[in-house]
Amino acid sequence: MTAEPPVVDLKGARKKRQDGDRSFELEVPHLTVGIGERIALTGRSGSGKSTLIEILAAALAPDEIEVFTVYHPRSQVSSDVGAAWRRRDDAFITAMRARCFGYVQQVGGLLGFLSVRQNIALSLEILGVRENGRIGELAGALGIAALLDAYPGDLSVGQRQRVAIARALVHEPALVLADEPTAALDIGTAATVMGEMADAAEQRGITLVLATHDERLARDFGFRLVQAETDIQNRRQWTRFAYEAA
Amino acid sequence: MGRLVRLAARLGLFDLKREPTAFLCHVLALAAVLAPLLILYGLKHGVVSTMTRDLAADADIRQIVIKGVGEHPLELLEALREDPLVGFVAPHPRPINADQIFAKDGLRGAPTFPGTVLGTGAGDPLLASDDPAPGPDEALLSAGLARDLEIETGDSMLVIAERTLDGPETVAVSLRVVGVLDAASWATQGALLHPDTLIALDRWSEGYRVPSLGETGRPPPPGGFTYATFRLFAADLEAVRPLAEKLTQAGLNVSTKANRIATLQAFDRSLGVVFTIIAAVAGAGYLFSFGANLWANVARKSHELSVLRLQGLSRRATMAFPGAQAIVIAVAGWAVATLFYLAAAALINGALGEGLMVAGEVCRLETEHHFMAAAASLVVALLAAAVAAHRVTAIDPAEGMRHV
Repeated sequence: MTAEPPVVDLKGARKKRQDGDRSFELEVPHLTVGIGERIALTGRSGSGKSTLIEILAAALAPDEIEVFTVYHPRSQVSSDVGAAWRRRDDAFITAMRARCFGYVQQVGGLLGFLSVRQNIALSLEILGVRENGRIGELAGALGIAALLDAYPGDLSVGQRQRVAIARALVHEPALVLADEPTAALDIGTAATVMGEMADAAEQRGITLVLATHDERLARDFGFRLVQAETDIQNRRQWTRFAYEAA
Repeated sequence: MGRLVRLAARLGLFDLKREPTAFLCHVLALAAVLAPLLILYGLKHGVVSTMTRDLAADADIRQIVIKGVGEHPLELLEALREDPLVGFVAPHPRPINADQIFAKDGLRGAPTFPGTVLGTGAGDPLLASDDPAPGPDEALLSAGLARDLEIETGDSMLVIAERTLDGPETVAVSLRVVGVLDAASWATQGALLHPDTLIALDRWSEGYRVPSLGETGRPPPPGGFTYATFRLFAADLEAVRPLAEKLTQAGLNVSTKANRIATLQAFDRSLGVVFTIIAAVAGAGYLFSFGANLWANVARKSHELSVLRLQGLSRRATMAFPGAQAIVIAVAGWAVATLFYLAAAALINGALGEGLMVAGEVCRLETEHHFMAAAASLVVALLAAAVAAHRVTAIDPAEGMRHV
């Protein structure tokens, strides 16, 4: 019996940014994330955590890439994102994003003109999938069942993050990418939201990768830390992330 | 793709619904440009169409007068009857034979009155829609002659003709009056007769023997009878000039009132040019304004749109977001502009309609004009949406992950 491939297999990725005489270079020699793993990208502000999250989200094309495949355990389909980037196949990448990823932003990830129910349903609607009670089930698990007809503007930050988590999980993607999902929350709420996200993902066998400052919180919820290795010389910053699934 | 386009369009409409004030501002901005254009065009069309209708209703304007008298063959009358440029044609006698004497029939010593006789028939502009075309033993009377003769519809009258051959002769033709013309439609003192009756009187007056009027008179001319002239009317205002040119080329000396038509048409063209310039400037201004508004809206919504792109909405599908908004704004703007127009038109027609030189509606649009305005609004909306869609293509899905 062949072992299942990792959800994410990224090799030889490099991204440069120039801002006046300041430059930033992100290098990822090897990053693989196994099925159901919880990975936390950590490092100081500006170290490139968010840039790596955007690359993993297939939303930001790196300057160089050797391998980038995304495997969806439920459908057992592997998508070669690296090849799609090289042939500039935006349609393929867009469809893959809808199918394989869920996203939790720090704030502002919800659409203000849609109700909570419509925001959560969006991931399913894009895929053309019926919800079959999934929204109610997730909303119950995340404690937002009573808020389904409310609008994001009426919610607290913690409630909004729960809605974002529900939207990220409802279509049962391969991977949920979260960029500082608890940074705008107080300590108590952050722990609750992190716990709810981790539990809901685990119950569905969904892999989690998040960028965070809060190493302790991540460690408390069983995330493996992938620390940014940063070097700054003469206004040039170089950051390296490397991790291989256990 | 179709499903995602529909989804993006639906999301665009949800966005409009959540921002009713902004939506209302967009709609009023469109209506503010479109309504004055509708009113302006309504004024142009209303004034010109009323003047055109008045001109068309004036039979004299469509009449082509054949100058002098001649000897026109019967075939010419038949050819004119078949010509699509011709609205009505009837033979007409020599001027001297067109003036006859009239009296009430059956009344000994009845007073006589002079008057003109004209040939008539179906399509004669002098006839109102409910006026019957007289048969060979019938006549229609002018209001003035009917009053002088004290004749009403159903009475009989005499047309008395005179000629001198070996000596003076008189013939009286009894005709039943089948109608009295409205004074406004024919101010002349006289009667309209069936063409056969008119021609019989003309030939008798010329000295020929006409069996229906007696046994005296000369036999028909060796080459057959001809017509001295015609009463001729063009089919419509536009037909006057080409018909006159055609007759002139055929060797007839004609006169028309085409100059009045040409003046109106030049007036229409001038107003059309002015309107086109104003509409083009206003339309371009509106296109830029609407496009800029949609562009700004896309810029304002760029984070939401980038979230949609990140979630998996394709670049093409996302364009439907501003596209649907543009279409709804355009349709609503057109509807509001039409309401403004209808209110303004009612006000203008109420205030000015009675006092102007033209009777009728001063401000007026036809149904097809409203459809054209709706179509133009949609075209502008789609062009503006194309501008906004261009902005959408530049939206980076990675923006959807970033903090705002």
